[in-house]
Amino acid sequence: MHNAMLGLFNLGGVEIILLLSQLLVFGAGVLGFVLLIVWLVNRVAKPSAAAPPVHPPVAPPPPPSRTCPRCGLPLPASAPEGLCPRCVMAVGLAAPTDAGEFGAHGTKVFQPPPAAADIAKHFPQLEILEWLGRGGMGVVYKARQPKLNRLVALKLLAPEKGADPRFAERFLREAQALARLSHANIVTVHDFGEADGLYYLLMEYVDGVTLRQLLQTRKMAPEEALKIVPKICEALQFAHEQGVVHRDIKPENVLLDKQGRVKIADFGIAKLVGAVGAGPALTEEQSVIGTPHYMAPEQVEKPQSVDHRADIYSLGVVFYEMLTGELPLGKFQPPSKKVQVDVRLDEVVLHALEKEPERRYQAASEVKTDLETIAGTPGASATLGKASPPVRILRWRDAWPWNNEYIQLFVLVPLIVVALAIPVCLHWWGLRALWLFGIEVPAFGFAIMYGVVGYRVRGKKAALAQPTGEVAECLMFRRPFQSPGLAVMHDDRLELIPIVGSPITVILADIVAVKEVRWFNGTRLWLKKGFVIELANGQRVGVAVAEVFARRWRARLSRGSLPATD
Amino acid sequence: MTSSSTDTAAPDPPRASAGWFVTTHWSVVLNAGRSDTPRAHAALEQLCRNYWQPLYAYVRRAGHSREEAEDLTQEFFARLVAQNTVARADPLRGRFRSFLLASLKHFLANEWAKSHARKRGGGAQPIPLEFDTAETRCAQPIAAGDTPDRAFDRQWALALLDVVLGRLRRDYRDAGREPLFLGLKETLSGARAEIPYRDLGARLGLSEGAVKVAAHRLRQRYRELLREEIANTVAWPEEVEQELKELFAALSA
Repeated sequence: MHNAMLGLFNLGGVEIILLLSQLLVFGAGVLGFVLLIVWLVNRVAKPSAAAPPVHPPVAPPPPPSRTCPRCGLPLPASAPEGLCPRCVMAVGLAAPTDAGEFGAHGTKVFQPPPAAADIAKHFPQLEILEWLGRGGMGVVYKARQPKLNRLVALKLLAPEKGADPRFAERFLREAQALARLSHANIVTVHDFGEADGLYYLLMEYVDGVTLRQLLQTRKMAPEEALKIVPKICEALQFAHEQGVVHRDIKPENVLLDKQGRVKIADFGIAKLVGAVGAGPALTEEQSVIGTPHYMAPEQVEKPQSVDHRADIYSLGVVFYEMLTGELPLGKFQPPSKKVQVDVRLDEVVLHALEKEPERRYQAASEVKTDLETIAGTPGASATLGKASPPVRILRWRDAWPWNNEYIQLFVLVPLIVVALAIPVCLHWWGLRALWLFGIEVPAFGFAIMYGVVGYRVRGKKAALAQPTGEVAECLMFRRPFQSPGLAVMHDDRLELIPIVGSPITVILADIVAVKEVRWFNGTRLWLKKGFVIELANGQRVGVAVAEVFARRWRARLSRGSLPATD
Repeated sequence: MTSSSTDTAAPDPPRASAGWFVTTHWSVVLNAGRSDTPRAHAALEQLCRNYWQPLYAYVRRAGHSREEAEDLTQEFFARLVAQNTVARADPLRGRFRSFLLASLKHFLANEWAKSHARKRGGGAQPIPLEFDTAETRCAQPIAAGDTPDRAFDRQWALALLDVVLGRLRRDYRDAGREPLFLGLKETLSGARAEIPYRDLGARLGLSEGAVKVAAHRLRQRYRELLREEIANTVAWPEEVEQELKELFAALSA
């Protein structure tokens, strides 16, 4: 041991690398093992909790206690229904996610809408079937046109607007423009008009979901986004060519029918409804009812003077949200920093989100072209973002098979037992070292490879059956490689037979100098004796053998006469 | 408990076409602000019935005795309904909560001091309020640094939950399923992963799956009612989520 400690100071560069790498691997193995034990203990201690529990489990209906069992805050006297108000409110914070609603921000509609029967009075030509939802602009009903036997969506615009005498004229003009928008990706306006003071639009009925609903139910794959966005671009480009600006592009207005077709709803309705009356109150209302997060900066500042480029900004917001699940608020990160997407998409998204309309894409078709170029050339640059949001990691862990208790019990436990048993067994069988790419590595993590290497050394030894020489396992050292093998000491020569590669024969008479060194032995954690032999032709070769051989061979290698040189 | 404050029937949903789109109680009040219509009166009175407790709490926290606080709250409401105070509310950015608190502060600071000795209420009918419950709530130990404003907000959140849970319970009772509500109401206050569906099912005589579905529906309905009720106190539907967050913060303080 004393020698071993001293030997450390004689180590050369390669030996130190060896030592450090062994310590590293060994340390990592120990750490992993400790973590496994801790994890197992946790499992056993809380067998019923599938996910890491943050709160203690629910107690059966507790007698009115003074503190909430979940959040630990004191329960107020006469708490509503005896429940902790804070926890109840927390549950309420999550938005209801009923299908079939079109409320802004996914919020629930607040008051019962006028019953279908009330509406039917005003529309004798329609069968009003059901109420679909409410947007900022009005309420929508599903209806049927009996003569044509087709389903339609009936949108009633907020009737206060009708009070303005200029509204009728404006409505006529705008609605005519909308009715001209005939495109596969735009919800068609079949008819419009006014019935008993109610202004309405009769539109194509889309049987499907809104993009908002889709985003609420699951994470969207970038490929899906790349299918949907170009369709939105086509629709926008078409409408822009017709001189119609949408003004309210947001996930609620992007519909996906059951065949997966994309349809943009509510084209131009923001303008149709919002610009009426032009009183200060209504201007204010418009900015509230619109969806600020999707609005281009110039749309917020000068709502009267927006052009089609405002739609391109909103499209950028929607695209960003589809990719990352978040809105590009404040100083936001490009999508590829948050999720695993092609970095080239960053450029498209950021270009669409330019604050100055002049610096933005000037046409929706340009966005589409760029996206198609990206989709057409396989992304060599697809990289994993460095800052994945923690939510995603949790999701991934939730899907981990380890969280299934049966897998834990019947797969993991035996695996650990085997993993522990292998190195122990190998040690019993007398195998001492693993050489991996020229580096000696100790046990645990590489137990199986360890076995293979050890087997090959022993196999060679058995096949060699050398009656004339003394056989020892050795480590051969020829810069920059070292390899394990056998060293056979004959009377006149030393044969070095590596496991891999060709053997070397060192004629003892050719040796001009021998330097004794110490090499580190990975398995036993002490040092091996070794020699660096210099031959007459200038060749140098290193051999490390067990201490006992080294002692016996020292005299013969140096022929007892030559002084050890440096 | 607070049945009288929660059981009062909502005024008939307005049938006039304008009402379809301006649907919250508070916006009805605001829109009618200057015209003093009976509908606006009814809506305001409904709001007052639901949310007077926080005002009482505020007055109590502000240092008035129980009797004084009862009188003050009564009088404040009587005036609010009788006089057209609401006409002063700014319809563009008004939540009923902030409006009420501001009015109350104003009332406490000026009006009451002046007219203290005069006959109260200006001859208007007082709104029947149930002070005992409110007093119990106010008797909670006061946390350090608990200002009257914070007390007001917290009591407001409690009153809101009273109304919402009351409506929820009534929904279930009307459908003849009150026992289900009672059995499942615990699930309204827990994270989904913590709910012991199997135990609940055993108690209610339902399968685990059926309990899960029922609990999910209960939560859905509760969230809808919560938003509906909050929508009654804000001027614009878009403010609902913000108000919800603020009330949650008030309960967490």
